[in-house]
Amino acid sequence: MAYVAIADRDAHLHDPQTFIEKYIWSQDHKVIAIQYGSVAIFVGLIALVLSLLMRLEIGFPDTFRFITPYNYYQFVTMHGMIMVIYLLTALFLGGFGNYLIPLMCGARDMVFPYMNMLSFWVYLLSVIVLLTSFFVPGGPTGAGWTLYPPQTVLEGTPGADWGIVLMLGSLAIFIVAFTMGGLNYVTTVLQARCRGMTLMRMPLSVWGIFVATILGLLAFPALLVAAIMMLLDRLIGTSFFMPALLSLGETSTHNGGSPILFQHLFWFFGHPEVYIVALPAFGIVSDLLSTHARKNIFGYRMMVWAIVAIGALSFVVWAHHMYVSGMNPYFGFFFATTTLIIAVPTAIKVYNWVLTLWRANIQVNTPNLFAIGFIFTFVHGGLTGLFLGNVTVDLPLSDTYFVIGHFHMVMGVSPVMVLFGAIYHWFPKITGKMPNEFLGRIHFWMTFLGTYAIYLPMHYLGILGMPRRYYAYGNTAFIPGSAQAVNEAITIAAIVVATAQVIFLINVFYSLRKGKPAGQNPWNATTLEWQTPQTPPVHGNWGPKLPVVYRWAYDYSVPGEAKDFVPQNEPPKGHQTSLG
Amino acid sequence: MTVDNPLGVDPDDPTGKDDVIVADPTFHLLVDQPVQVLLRSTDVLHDFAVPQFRVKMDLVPGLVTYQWFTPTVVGTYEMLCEELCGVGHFAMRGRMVVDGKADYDKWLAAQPTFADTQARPVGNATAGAANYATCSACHGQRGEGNQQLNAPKLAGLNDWYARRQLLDFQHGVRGAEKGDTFGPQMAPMSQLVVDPASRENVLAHIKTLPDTPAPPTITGDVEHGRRLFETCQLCHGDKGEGRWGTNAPKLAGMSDWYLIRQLEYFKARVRGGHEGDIYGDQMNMVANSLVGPDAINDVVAYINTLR
Repeated sequence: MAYVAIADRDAHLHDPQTFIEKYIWSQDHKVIAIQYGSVAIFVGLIALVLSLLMRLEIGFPDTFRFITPYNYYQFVTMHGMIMVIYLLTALFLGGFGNYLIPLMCGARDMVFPYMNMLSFWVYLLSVIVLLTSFFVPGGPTGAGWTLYPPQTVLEGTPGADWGIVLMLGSLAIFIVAFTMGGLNYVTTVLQARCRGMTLMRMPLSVWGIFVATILGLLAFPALLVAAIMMLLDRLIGTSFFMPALLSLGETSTHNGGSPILFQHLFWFFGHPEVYIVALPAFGIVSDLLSTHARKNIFGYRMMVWAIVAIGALSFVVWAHHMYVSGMNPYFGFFFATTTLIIAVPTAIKVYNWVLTLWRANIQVNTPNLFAIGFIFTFVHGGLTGLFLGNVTVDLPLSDTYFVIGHFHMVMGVSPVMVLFGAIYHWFPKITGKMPNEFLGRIHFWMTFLGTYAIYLPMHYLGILGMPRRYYAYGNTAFIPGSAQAVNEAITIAAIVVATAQVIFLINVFYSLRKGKPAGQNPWNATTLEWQTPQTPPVHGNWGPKLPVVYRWAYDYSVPGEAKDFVPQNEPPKGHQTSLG
Repeated sequence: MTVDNPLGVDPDDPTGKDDVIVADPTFHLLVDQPVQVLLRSTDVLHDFAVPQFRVKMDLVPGLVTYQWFTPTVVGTYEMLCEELCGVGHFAMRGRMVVDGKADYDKWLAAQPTFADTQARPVGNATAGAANYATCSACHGQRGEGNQQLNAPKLAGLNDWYARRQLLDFQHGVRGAEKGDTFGPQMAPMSQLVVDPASRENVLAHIKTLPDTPAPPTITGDVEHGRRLFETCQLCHGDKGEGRWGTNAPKLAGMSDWYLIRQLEYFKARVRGGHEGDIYGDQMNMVANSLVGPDAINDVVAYINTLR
């Protein structure tokens, strides 16, 4: 055969020459992944501190003089937006997407390395614009992360002067960055897989990231237009979302716009966004479970089709966020139906994860603990979603702490469990050092038990009717005094969980310096990234010759094999390895 | 929509004359009678929620939204806003009372129709001067206030706010709480203008008094006060000028010692603790965010700089 992969013919298209090219203006997907990941974790820590400030106010009201109602709503807003967009989306796709796609597909790099680099720098710009809003007059916006107009751009909401402009601008810049990265990931998966890596042999991590990226490319434009339209409403006085109204008793110049139009646009982005975060988590956790349980993933094809089905369905459920928004009440029937249907492919995934563990040789180590912990938190978050998906049950529960408990379990804690599992799992490949197992387990147990201590009681508070986004509860008779004790306990649990993240950071920095050398494949994993000639992989990933794939990614504990794993690039027995 | 027509009923519409106007955060419903609420907002998104009814629906400016329900248990329930509407969101609340037939009819009969509200006597400032003679003994000839007599400045006070306070004093909603030293002095005085005509006259007279800013009597950390005032200004106005739309009275240029005492009263629920004083209850929640020994002093010191 005369086939020679393009990447085999010329492996030196953009070799770095200087320190700056290697680490700053780098076009290497692995360096860009680390840059993306570091910035995402940094802003995530800011958002973590904001959440603690909120919890301090709720748990110990009227105690801290530096938390005024004005600041409280700013903390609420920035915490939500940073966590969902600038941490989770950026870390899963920009971080792990960048690192894993070329390595797992057997490519030398992303197909558009320069655009990949640009994607990171534009992302960094969006983060800088966002953080600038803390330093402008009036501070960041306090409109809630959903940014519902008209209050978002009117006096009466913190940051209506500058904060909201910077927020919308930052979102628009982020979407530009995401689009450059996203097109790259999709093209790379479709065009740059190595020989033998058919789509149905791809590890589920790549499948999850791939489908999530497609969702992002289709969903983010809705947010982009919504952001631009609201910017126009705010800056030049258009009325896309602004009906004729009184602003604090004064007649405004707006006329004829629809606030609900924004909600539809926002959630047309916002619901797929849940799966933009969840699908990479689904994929990655499948690989973690299979590797650390030394067993093939149960129902690989179903897992792939479930990812695709969830991705498709996620575009027709958005208005389940709007049952009490004043939209036509008959819409509720349609959206409740589609919402409950999405539970089917999701349940398939959960069953398959559990069946993967069934009678497996489960290794107890940090990445696997996080992966198994994810199954618990995700099942809990998913089940409460069934409550909220039904219109009549949602009526009393929407806008209460039940919702907060639900979405933090399902799209906060669960993806973060996978992120931690993934960081512990790939840390040896990224750095060449093993993370400290003892610190890792402390981190896991404090985080896992701590998040339950935070979010389970919130469901109870929500059923009591305790509304969310309240700075204080005053003399509300239907909320018993004991609810305050629960809130204090939640705040203390939140402080404990935040402390656990400090342990995580210590572990990262300690292991970077003093960790045991990892070797090429410390977990005995089958996927391609563990088969690189160097660890950490150097520029170009594969040395002179690209790998060739002969099998799927899940040949663990295959009967009759000497080892309990067979790497994807190991030829079948008796196979002629010289393909010529 | 104006102070005199808070629900914006069309004054030229003959069928609107008998509409019952309930411009009050407390609303009554008849037990076992199905209700359809039609919800409108004139400013931003809000949400009509009565948690114990399991009832919740957003109010959307530019739309009329609705919900059906049937109250089945007699009692008093909290009505909350559950859609983030601004900094004051957590304090936006009212009360829903479910009555038996007799109580409900009694309440309904006491509510004015639109025609009644339009027929409210127009105050005559000249006639009000005679009524004001009694007030001037403490509050001063020009309504400038007198700290020795614990009488705050009246000149410049929003008339809708002064009216509500007079009514509250008359009905024992204000000035009857335990710990309120000076309210009980005002309560009997308010009885002198029980008659609506004389009440409107005296309010009209107060409106004519020259609004000279009260001299500051305190000093404090103005920068700290400015940061705290970020929360206050969203209802009271960034110049502390007072806003009818948010039921928040004028603060700038009023007696600073009086503002301090009221903030202390609100924090201690000496004011705002009465179940009929829902605006006071809201102010209690906001005043509680002033934490620390200097917070009240500093925020009032900042208000002193607003002119």
